Amino acid sequence: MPVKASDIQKLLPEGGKKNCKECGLATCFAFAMKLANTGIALEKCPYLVPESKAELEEMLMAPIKQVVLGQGSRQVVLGEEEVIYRHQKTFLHPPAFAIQLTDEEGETVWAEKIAKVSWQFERLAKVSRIDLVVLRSSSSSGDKYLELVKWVMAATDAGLILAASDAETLLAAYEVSKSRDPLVCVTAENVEAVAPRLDPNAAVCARATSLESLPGLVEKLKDAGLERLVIDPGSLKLLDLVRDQTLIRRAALQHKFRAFGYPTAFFAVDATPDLSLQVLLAAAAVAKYAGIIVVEDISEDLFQVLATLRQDIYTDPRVPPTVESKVYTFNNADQEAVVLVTTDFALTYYAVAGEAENSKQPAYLLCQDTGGLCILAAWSTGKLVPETIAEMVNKEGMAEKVKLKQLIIPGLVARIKGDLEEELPDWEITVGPKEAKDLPGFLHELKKRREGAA
Amino acid sequence: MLEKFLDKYPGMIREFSFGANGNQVMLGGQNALPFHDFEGASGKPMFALEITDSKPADWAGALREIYADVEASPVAWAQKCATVYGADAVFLNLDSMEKDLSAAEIASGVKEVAGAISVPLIVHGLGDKEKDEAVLPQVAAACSGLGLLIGPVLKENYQAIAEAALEHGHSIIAQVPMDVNLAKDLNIKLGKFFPLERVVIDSLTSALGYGLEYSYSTTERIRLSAVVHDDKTLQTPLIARVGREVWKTKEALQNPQKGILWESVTALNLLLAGDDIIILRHPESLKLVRSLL
Ligand code: SF4
Repeated sequence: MPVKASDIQKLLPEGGKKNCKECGLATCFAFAMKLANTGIALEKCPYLVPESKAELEEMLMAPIKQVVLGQGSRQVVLGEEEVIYRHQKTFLHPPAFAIQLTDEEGETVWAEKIAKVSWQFERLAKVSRIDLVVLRSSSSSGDKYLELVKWVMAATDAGLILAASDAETLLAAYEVSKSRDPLVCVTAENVEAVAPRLDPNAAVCARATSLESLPGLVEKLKDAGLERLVIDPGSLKLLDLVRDQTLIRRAALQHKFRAFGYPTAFFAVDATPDLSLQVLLAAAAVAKYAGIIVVEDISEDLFQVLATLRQDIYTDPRVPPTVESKVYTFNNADQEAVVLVTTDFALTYYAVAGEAENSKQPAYLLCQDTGGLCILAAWSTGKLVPETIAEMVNKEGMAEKVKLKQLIIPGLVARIKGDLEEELPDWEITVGPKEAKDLPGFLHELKKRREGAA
Repeated sequence: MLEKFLDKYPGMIREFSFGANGNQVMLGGQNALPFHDFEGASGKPMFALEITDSKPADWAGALREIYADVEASPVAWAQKCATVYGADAVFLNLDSMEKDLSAAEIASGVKEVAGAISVPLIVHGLGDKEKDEAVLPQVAAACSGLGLLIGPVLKENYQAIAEAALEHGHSIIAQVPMDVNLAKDLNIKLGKFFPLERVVIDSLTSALGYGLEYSYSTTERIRLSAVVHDDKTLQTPLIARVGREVWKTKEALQNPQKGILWESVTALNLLLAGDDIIILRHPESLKLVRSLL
């Protein structure tokens, strides 16, 4: 919940009535408004008494702390979320996906898994990757674990998560990989031994075995001076995942419960050995607030599923996704090509573009600027009507590009055919299918008919 | 210590049941958000498999292979879904309405299917205002007393279909295009003569990667209005036609294994958002999602 300007004002000099303008704003209240939107530094007011300043700092602190992991192009930003439901405001930082390597697996498996960390999956002009690597010690040999850590450091520049229950093993790995700023997993069993020996600026994942025991673990880490925290309530089932993640988010945002004011982690890998089920749990975790999601392994198909979901859930709910309004070409469109019309709403465009390509027939696709509306909405608001279509056909000089002059309009706006014929008298206007999936069949029929007529 | 973070919700989803004597299923009764068992009754989802009453010519190849032995007979197909794949209900698409079949013939086909299975039947028209209005009331009459769930009922044709459903003891699916307020409007209109205890909302579904976020948020908002804000007009179960949308995506068509995951993940996320009845096409997706719950 955002801080109210009136609550801030009460803590400003003379109860927020000094209005001396030294902060550069007309009144204390204006300054308070700026503070509420985090648009100005507290220090701009020279008259704040230390107690009020401390109180204001606490008040203005992000309810969920930002934590940055990884380095360079592999940097991942987590936390800072402000809402519980995505229609309220965009979920800000998409969760990081992590793949787990264990010291017992050996180099062949390591190499296979690390190769996946360089996958790049592109969709809607955004690239998705597996962001982090979890290094798990499952043998009892500290040497074996160090070997894994060193091997992975050489093999990838992705951010690292260290997970070893034995304190000495974990600390040795931390020393070795310090330059990479790893996220160190700490549990109730090893916190006393580990926490005092980490740098105060180390990134730490508090891994509890239940939501109830998590605050205690967080407090111990904070007492040791550690502040860059990720928290894991240890959920192992779908119901626990929803409960734990929901209560953490709610406690942080609505109750300002500081121990839960950090990005979270979910280890799907610990929930089940079945990879498909791990991915389903991971999918639930994407929607339900997890900051880091760990799977044991993943196929390209499964990764595509998760990456697509992450993109869906983390889109801005208020802005429809669009593609550039222009003429797209398919299958080496030439003089023989037909001309198709659709809108710049990304989902409509991708459905039509995919099928235009599948059809294997040369085609131009006029993608109209509608501000991201689907066909019917664009039509009913006057953004996909005979006038706008004719204007684009003329502006793009389509008449010179094709011999056929066959213009195919979406089946959903069949009713504009007559008016469009008047706007474009030289063109043959054809009503296409209502659904994109029927486009290849339709184009095929059209071609057969043309050839039959010739 | 965590008690102080728990919420109590004022609203409750109406108890809803459909199906004929002996094969009735119960839904509704939730007084908490989906999967919030820690705060109240969060409900148990129901899964239906989709079939069609004419040759599924436009279905994905992978699906047609699975149902090849039964696709010519809606009765056999429905039985396979219920007994072999364990669907909680069968969702029958009346694609035969596109053909030159009389409404009476279509309706008697539906009756045959309903009588042949031991799970409830959901019957769905084309979403074409006139055709549905001509056929669905006849289906309702022919299947009088069988407790079908019939849809879609649109703001353009709700009167005729809902009246027939009311007379013959069926429930209905109120369908609106992805909008909380439209769902509310239609239920208000229906509520004037039709018991909302027998209404399910379909706010239209889109697949993962093809607008899932819109369905997700619409569904979530409808459920929030019902449970958190106690909006009586929206306190009905929600239905999502997942299979149909997923099995026309290129991901599913190119690679059926990926299709199963696509369908499962779409279904799971809509369950998280608040859907109660999930319509699937691939039995493997049904198995996968169920194994998680
Ligand atoms: S400098 Fe401080 S006291 Fe002066 S107007 Fe700004 S906020 Fe008020």
